[in-house]
Amino acid sequence: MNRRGKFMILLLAAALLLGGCAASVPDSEKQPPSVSLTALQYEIENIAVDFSSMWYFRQIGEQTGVHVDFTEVKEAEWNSSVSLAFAKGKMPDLILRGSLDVEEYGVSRHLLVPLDEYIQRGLMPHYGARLENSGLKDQLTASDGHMYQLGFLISQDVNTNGHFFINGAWLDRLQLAAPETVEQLTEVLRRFRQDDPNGNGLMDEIPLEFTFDDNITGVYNLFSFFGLPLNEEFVYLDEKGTVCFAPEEEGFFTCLTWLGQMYAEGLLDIDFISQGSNIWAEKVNGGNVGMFSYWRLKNTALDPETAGHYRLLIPVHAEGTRACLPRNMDTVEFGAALTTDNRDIESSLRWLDAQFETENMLVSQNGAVGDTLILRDDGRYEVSYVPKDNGLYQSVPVICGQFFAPAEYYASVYVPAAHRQEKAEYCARYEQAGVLEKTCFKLLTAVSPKTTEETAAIAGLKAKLKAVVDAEIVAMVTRGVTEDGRAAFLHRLREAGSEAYKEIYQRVYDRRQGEK
Amino acid sequence: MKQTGKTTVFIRYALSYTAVVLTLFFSIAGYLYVRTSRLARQNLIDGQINRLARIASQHESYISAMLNTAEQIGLSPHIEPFRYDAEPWKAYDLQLQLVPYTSTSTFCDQVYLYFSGDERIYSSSASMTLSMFSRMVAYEQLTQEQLTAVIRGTDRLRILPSQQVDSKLVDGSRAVTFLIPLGANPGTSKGLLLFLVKDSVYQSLFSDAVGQAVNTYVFQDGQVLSRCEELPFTWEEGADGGTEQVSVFRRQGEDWTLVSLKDRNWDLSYAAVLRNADINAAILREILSNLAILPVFVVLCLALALWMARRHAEPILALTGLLPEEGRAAKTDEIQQIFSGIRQLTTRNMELATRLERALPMQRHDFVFQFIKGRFSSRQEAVSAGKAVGLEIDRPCYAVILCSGADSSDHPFELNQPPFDSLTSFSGAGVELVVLKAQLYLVFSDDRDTLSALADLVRAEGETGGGRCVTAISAVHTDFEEAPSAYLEAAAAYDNRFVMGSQQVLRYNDISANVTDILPQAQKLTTSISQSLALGSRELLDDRINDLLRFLKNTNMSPFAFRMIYNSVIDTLAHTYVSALSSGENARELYDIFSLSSCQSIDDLDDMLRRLCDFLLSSGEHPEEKPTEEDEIDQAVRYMEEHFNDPEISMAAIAESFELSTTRFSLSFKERKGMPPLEYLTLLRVEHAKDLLAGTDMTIRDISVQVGYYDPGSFIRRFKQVTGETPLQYRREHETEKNTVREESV
Repeated sequence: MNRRGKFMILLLAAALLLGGCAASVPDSEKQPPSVSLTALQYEIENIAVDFSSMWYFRQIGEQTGVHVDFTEVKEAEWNSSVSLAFAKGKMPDLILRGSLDVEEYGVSRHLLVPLDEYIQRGLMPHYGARLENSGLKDQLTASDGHMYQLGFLISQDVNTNGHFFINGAWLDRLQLAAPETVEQLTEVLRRFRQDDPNGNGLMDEIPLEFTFDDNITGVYNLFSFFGLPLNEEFVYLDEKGTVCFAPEEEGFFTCLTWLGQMYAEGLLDIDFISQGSNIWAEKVNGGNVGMFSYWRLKNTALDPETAGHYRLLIPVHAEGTRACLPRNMDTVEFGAALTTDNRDIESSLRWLDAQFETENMLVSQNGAVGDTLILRDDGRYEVSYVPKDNGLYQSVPVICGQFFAPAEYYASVYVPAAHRQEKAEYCARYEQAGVLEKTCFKLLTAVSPKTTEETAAIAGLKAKLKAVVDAEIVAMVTRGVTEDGRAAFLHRLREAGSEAYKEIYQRVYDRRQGEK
Repeated sequence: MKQTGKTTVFIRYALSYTAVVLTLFFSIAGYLYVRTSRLARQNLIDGQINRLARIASQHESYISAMLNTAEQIGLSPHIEPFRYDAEPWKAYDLQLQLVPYTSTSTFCDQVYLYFSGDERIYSSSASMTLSMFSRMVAYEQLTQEQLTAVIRGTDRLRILPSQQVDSKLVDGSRAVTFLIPLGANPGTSKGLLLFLVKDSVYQSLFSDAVGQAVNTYVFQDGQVLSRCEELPFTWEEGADGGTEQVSVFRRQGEDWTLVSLKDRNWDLSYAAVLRNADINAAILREILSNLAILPVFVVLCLALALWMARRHAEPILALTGLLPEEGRAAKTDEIQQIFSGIRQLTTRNMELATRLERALPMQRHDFVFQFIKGRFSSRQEAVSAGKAVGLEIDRPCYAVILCSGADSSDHPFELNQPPFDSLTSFSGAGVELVVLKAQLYLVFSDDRDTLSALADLVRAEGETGGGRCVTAISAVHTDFEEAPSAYLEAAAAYDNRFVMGSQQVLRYNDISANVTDILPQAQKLTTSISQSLALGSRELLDDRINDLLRFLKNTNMSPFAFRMIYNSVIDTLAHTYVSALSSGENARELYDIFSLSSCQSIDDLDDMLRRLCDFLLSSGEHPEEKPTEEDEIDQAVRYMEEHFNDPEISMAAIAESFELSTTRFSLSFKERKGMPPLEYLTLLRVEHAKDLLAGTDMTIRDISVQVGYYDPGSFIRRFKQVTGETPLQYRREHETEKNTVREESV
């Protein structure tokens, strides 16, 4: 037999051998992913996992026949990495989680694929149906009317960031009722200071403990007592749909006058101007605080024993006003986008939509069913336990995965944890008490589409205005509110662009209302 | 036995070369080992020193940056101490001022500002009392009070070693704390900056050692600030590595090497500790990687050694094999056998040389006779033969001297002894010539005068005893082929002693005048005899010899002249039919010059010539005849003999008829007959014409047609070319001869 004949026989034998091996592979393994895509994946700072080999994405790959090679980027480098990816001309097929300026890359530079047509064609059945019923399409629609992104939403029906908590043990010890007005509250705080409710014989009680410039633990929340929903963006909508700049409102100065009084009487910890949440928590946990605002009590920085002394306080109101806290609303975050370099749009959407299937989506957030996730008899899912040290990230993407769960839908498929239920209860009570602003300010700041220029202008003006506002809060609280000081402050605000700031927001809002 | 000897010598050489190669190998390997290990160790140490220098440079740049920040803040007019209780709003301003100083650092985790004498501490994001700071930033090795005291009491750069800092402000971690006074003048500082640098920053500085077997330390004043310990070795606080940059010490039952950079800025020093066993392993790996080629080198050298052993053993074995069996002692090695063999050969050579020396006169005797008889085919052969007997004969001229001694038993003179050694530039030897009762000297010289002087010396020496000495010398010759003639000349001169007496040397040149005139005429007859031999016709040959005899008798020559002519004839024949002469001893005798010289009458010479011609004819050896294509050439000869009178006969036609090319036929014919076919045909025609010219009265024209020429002019030219005379001259000459014979017979 010649050499060629031997070679043919060897080739035939190898083919038969391989054929035999193939026949022994289970059906589930017979169809390896046939489509390969690349993705820029957002990754939170304190985890380090390989998304490409993650169990969850292997399952999704087997279900869809799509394999994705991830390039993980940490939070700190995310924006620069995204810019670089678009700048160098070789874009990944997918951009996943983190944040993305869809106006810039989608509307202006046309580097993102408009997804609305594909969703209408039914290529994303799970996501599309949920989006249609959510009433959140507006948030995902860019200024040119197209949707360039898939949303990320974990709706927990939270309408308020910060709730007020008063030391119930002290109230009980001093036999005081929960205050309902600013005057009553002032009196309660004075009693807390003077009547040694902690019983140590020292006048070391801190009646009001706050941080500065936020709506969770910050003094911003105290402005609500005077009908002013002061938020970090300083703008809100009145009942007529007019954009208001909170630091210019009368309630702002009324509140500062009251706070100055509280400081002068030693009822307000002046450290609010320079302490962060850690120091704040340390002080609250010290057990000498009469009142504060916080997200909730359970499962927070507060130790359970301390938290047990406090009870929810419905915001008090000044005479002639109605308490008004900034309202929270579900805002859809960036979930995913397809770049115009995408090599297989339909496969990409198939891979993404598989992650929005209810069980897949809940697994991506909470871990495998039967392990950390339980399917209850009522058809809803419930978390059984949470692994320590972010252990979930070893198998599922958690917060870095795709998730779109509007409130009603989420409640129908998922039983939230106890601490979330606590938050929901507080929110319901505040809603019931009517102490929340009517129209959420996020309609202005987050939902209404803005052009790139508008976004940039808002960011620049806000930085200047914040510097003026925060400095004035500190000054007026510590040195008092005077007419001259008030006039000078208003002048500085105008110089810093408060009018332009309002105008832009008004334009954005009006445009949205017009389109609607 | 032979095989054993072969193996023994090969093994001996192989072992010797292998020993040399291995000695060289181990010497080189040893040298390389020492050198490579030293270099490898030095490289390892240098690598660690460079690494420490890099760490120091980076670390000290961090410290410089922190010092710079502290100096800038200290000099800033916007950052001044204040009373928080009285001016709390300044805390807010201070935070804003601190942001740019603290937000750009990549290595520093937290920065806090403390004003001297204050109760608070500030950062860019918070302010708090010192007591709260001490409570929230819990140091592993400091109590709250100690930390507070350290912050209050620091007035110069102070570095707290790496320790766990369970900070509630940010994530807790191990950190190194730097306390740096504000401003350029620490003594008058308005406060200090407290930098918390995470130990992970140091670990990243040391990161190139992760996975390596090395411990790395940063010290200040002997205190370890940070460490990375990959080895099961823990640096003991207060331990001192000494002042050396590199030192070896023993601890925990093992040897360690400490590489350190000392006396850096701010009393910092840096050290690396390596386990000596690891260093040695690294050195070994380095050596193995560098010396891996050596085994290949060894194999090559061993192969070379075996090849050289074989190369040297083979000639020794071959030499041993040349030794006689009895010369090979079984128990001795081959070299000794060769030595003994060479000694035997030397002895034998000496014996042979002695015997040869004794035989030299005889050999010279033979050489002289060979030379005189013209037996050497070339000058080179004669020169070589002369050298073999110690004679340098390659000289321009030579002569033959005959000398009669007073006593027939006298031996020839030794020409290399006095008085002959007074002459230079000559070489020669003498032999005894019994036939003539004389001595024959064959002398060669660079000049003719020396030869003449030699003859005078021979005669003078011969007469030394008082007797009469007849001395004759030939003419001076240059061509070695003329040696027989030279002898004949000397003999002729010697024969003239009866006329000239012995008063002087008898010189041939004095008697040779008439001979030189005769020789050209005899040449024609020689040519005729040669042509007759070529045609193989005995009858024709007899006629030509008769012509020669008639010519000699008619010219009344002396016997010497006859001998010269005969010598010329025989010499010509001998050179033409050299193969015939060389094949038969009889032929040599026929051509022996001494026999020729002893002929005293024409009849003696005639008899000798006829016997020679008969021998040549009977031997059938025609000039250079070869058996190649014998049939074709014989047939061609026969054809030409039968058709020579055909004017149309052509060589091309003959060649074609025998299926030979014209060139091939011509070459083959010449090889067989000694002349080209056309010349042979011409010779046939001329010989036939001679018969017709001598035996008939036919006209020249008729004869030319009769022998194959259309044109009588062509016939006449050809005839003259062959015979040297015209047909008419030939007829007249033969008519005269016929008349003479007729008259004699009458």
